[in-house]
Amino acid sequence: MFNSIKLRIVVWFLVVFSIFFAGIELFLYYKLGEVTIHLADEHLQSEVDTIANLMAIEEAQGQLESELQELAAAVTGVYAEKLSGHYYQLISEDGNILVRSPSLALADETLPVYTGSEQGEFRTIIGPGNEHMRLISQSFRFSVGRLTFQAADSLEDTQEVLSSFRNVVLAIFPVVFVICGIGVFLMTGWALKPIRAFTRKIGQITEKNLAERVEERGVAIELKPLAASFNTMLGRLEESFSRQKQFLSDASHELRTPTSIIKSFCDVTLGRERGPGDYKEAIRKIGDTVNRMCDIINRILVISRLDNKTIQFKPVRMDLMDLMKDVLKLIEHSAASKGIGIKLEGTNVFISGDREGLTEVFTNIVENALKYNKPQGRVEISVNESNGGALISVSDTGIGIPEGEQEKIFDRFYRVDASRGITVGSGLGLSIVRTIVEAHGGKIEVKSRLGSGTTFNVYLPKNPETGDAVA
Amino acid sequence: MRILLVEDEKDLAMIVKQGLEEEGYVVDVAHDGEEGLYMAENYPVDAVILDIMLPLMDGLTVLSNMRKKGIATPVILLTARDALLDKIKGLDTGADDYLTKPFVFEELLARVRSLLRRKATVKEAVIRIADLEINTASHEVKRGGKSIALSAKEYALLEYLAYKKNTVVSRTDIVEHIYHEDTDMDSNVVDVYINYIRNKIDKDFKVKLIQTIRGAGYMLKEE
Repeated sequence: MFNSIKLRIVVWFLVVFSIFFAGIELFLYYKLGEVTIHLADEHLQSEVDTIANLMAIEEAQGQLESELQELAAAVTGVYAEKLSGHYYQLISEDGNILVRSPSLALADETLPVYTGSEQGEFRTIIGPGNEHMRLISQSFRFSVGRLTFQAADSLEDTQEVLSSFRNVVLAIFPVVFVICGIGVFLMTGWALKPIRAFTRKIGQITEKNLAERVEERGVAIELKPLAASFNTMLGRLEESFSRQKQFLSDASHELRTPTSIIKSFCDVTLGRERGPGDYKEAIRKIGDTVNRMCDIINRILVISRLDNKTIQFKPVRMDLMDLMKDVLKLIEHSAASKGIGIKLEGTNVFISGDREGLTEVFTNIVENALKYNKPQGRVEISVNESNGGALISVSDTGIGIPEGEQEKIFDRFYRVDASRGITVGSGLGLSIVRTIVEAHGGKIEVKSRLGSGTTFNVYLPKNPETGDAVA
Repeated sequence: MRILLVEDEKDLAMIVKQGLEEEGYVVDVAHDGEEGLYMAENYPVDAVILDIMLPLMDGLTVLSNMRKKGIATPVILLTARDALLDKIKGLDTGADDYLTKPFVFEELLARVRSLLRRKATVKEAVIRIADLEINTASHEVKRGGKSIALSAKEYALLEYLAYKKNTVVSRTDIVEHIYHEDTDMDSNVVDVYINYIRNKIDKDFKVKLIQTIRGAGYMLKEE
């Protein structure tokens, strides 16, 4: 459920929004409370100061007593009204209430008695009528001693303002919350639109139109790296797809030629009555061709296993000179039958490699050296150390490979000039050779001069894992 | 009829040549494109069977060079790829037909016959000259409804004359198109074979179809 960018953005926004909104509202609420209390305090202070001034003036005239009576008998204004929410009282030094405002006296209420300091003390109290009140207590020196003036204003009005502020905030919060939520939801949808367009574009690319690319221009900046890496991936896919297609097409092409030989032999031979010799000859030819097909199929299998890496190379420590001697044992018969002399020289070189794979590699190379050689030709093989690795060189005195075709011989199904009276293989041998050599971290090179011979150089590192000893 | 087969696969070339020869064709084989082009230019061939993937010069290049030099010999392209583009390219280069490997040999024969007919004055598979009937597909020959048995070489000669009916065909033409180049030109082998088929076709009939044109050659004539 939370695996949606849109939803996550909306939720995150709303959480942040709520915290922010609540913070601001709380701050405003307390600030408003403080301001109202401050205003109330200022008002109370001025009331007390006024009364104190009056008292001081009256005292100077020696009429303190009458002034006290006047204070208790005020008949107009908020202090005259019973429980108006505005009160004062005067307290003697020993804590007796000397005078009460009519608003208190009429209800026979008093304010809580505090003998305040000369600076004045403010308190929030629960006063008459169970109202929240702000109370000032401030003492002044008179001839009769220290008198404390107390005045109180109801805070109910401010409380009301605050609570209505709170109510308004609580009422609008869900509305703003929902509106913002919807707004962010829509905006996110709009912002994520390029992703949908991008997805659609990608969705249109199948194996049929792998050559197409996602247009990188006009894509949102955030999506550009995605488009670029997607295109890179498409490029790689296309390449491997076309390689596979090419391989399949080449493989079927390679099989079609022997198939058509077999088919033609069957068609022509069965076309009319013949003697046993003709049938025998036809079956022998068909048999030869089937062997050739089997060879091609086996090599195709090896190639596809090498490609899929289902062949596991098991590196063991071995002597390449020893391996080469084994290879020569396998083919000395066919060399002798062609009158080709093979010379092996060099030193023992120990490397770590897959014995079976490397036997395949050198058998292939030496077989080629025989196959494309001239009658009574020579093959020279050397095994030596080179740059901390091994260098195996196989030279023949054969027909050579034309300049432009030397790199292509490692391509699958590539064959150099099948016309010169030479039996040719499947065209897969050198491709397999290169794959195995490269799997060992090595490399293979060919040097050839048309008409005078070909040299294959194989470099193998001592340790296939590191591969750093490759020349 | 003389056919040039350009195919680098030796075994395939060998068996196709054998099959064609058994049908009475004269077959020349080239194993690469350059040799093929040379033979197409210099040999009096009636049709070319041309592989596309060839060493030295590929089949399409051979074909376009032939056409550039004005050689209009009908060509059947042979290929191991059946990509449509290859077919279109081949036909556009001037090929008359196209066959994908592996092919049924009978189909190759039928296509060769169809190409040879296209070049000849006769367009039907069964050539009729008066009451003589030559079925080019089954090699059956009838006259007046009666079957006549001919050897492969006799049939090839009769068919060649039939394709060019009502035209004079020289001995050289016959040697070049019906017999292989190693046949001794000076021998009277053509006259011998003409004699054989005369015995089988004309001997028992009042109307003689095979006529000798003095100093020029022979003619198979309706009338």
